[in-house]
Amino acid sequence: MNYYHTDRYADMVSIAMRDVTKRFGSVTALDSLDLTVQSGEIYGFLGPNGAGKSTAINVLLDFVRPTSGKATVLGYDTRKESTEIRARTGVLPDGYQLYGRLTGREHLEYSIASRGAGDDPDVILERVGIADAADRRAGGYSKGMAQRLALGMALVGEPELLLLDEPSTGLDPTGAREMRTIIEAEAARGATVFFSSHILGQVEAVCDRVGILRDGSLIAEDTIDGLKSSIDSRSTIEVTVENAPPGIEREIRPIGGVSSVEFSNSKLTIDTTDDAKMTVLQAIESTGATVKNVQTDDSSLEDLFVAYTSDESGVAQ
Amino acid sequence: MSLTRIAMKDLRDTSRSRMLGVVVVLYVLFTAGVAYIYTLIPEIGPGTGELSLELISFLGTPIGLFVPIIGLMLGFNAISGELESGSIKLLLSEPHKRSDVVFGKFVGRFVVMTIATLLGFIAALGIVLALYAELSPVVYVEYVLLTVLFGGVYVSLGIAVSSLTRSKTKATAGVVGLFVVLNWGWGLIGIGLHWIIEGTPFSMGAQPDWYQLFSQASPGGAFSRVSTAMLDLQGPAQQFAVTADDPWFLQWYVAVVVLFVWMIVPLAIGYLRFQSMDI
Repeated sequence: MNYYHTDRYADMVSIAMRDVTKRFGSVTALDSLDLTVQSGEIYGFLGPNGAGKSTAINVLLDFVRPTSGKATVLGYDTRKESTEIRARTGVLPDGYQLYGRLTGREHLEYSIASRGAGDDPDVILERVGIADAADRRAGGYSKGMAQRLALGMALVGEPELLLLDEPSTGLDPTGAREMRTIIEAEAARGATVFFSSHILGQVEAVCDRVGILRDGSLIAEDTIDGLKSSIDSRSTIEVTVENAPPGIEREIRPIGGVSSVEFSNSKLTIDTTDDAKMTVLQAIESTGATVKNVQTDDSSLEDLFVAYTSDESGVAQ
Repeated sequence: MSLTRIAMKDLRDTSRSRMLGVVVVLYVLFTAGVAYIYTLIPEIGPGTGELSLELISFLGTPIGLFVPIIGLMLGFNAISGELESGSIKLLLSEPHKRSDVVFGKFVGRFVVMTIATLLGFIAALGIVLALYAELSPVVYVEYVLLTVLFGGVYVSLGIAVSSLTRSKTKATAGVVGLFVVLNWGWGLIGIGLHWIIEGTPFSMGAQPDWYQLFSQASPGGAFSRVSTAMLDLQGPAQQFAVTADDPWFLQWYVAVVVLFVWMIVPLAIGYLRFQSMDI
């Protein structure tokens, strides 16, 4: 895929987090997180709610100070040079609220003036699809309109880096698609895009690379293709059996390549590598059970994500 | 630069608050009403020559009540409100320093406070000039400046309270408590101290120096001390006047310093708190 959209920052690192830990009281939100995002790439930051995605983004913006560790953005230290970072970064934060008494246009004017940018508010409002609400107070905006306005504020001044925290929140499918188009256009202009999501589908379509965060640490990181190929050789087979002896699943589980077995209603559900399939079927027959039907499901990326991020995962370990 | 941006945004935002508008209207009506009542009293009204001086002691009541209320109202939500709603994240997504936020918000809200103060004074002035032609403009302007400073003190106090919590409810409780302590509690403590030190709750006639110093150490006390010094007190009221024979720490300029301290220290507390906060 288009790993680098431009050579402009090709050998530069946009985001570097080194051994970053953040504790809130007794809760560890980030646990020795290491993360590197190259300039020019679109990086999807995946993880279930509560995994620490927002905390990581907040550390990059110096909204939250790490308990230990160090982070740089565009080469600047997040603790010492935060204004330099924010001058070059467009941000769509999570858990924000607009100023209810200010209009959409006034919000953009604030961003434009703060950055000394030459943008035309109307052009941006048009681009994010809320031009007709420009002069209405933001207090009356729907969640989707608010999200569009906040994205518009992030686009002001053609930032080198876009940090988007759950950008599709509150957007309908059309809005989510438009968001994706904007992300791709920004990347094509040369910007690095870092966005978080708890929904794989939003990341899959646009990202060059994906990192999966769980309990404050990165547990997988690869290109979408790389992640896919790591699971291509795995599949789930459903075997309908007759005369299965009790405890048949215990016979199957020790077979090399099998990561999980479930047995209920005369159906065995087995997660296994492709080359162990035949061994599995033979093992079933050798218990005295009769195989009536075999169905194979290739694992999807979605399964992988669920496997990585849910607790009883067999893959993550 | 950053500070101006935040101040301007804040000015736009707060000036559209309906509740603030209601309080400012009340304050203006109250000030105008007091000015009108003043013109009705013959002993101090027409013919005494020092119209604006006496007017000042009349205006002290609505100012002493409304300026703290408006100032605290303007300040208390400055930081806690944005932390609670999360709008602070939009504010700080732009390249501003935390100090720009605290001081910019102070400036923005101080401007609103000053506009409200001036509206009250213009209303009072209009009434007095419509009914009488006499006024000492210099004293009047001095008094307006003093009141503007007094307003700054309470905006700053409100911002300090708002930096101590991220809950609007707690910030509200905080400023109400602060208002009660500074406006009534301080006097009660003074009476208690007087009782302990002097053996009686009050002194007849001239007050002990330490007690006067204690009284003028509160924002309201300092404000009264300076405004009293502007008046040329006559008759029995003369005992309240501070003369050059009194100790230096009771002179009006010390009270001005007290007001500046009350404005700067809370703002510094607000800044230090916000600087170290996770938002």
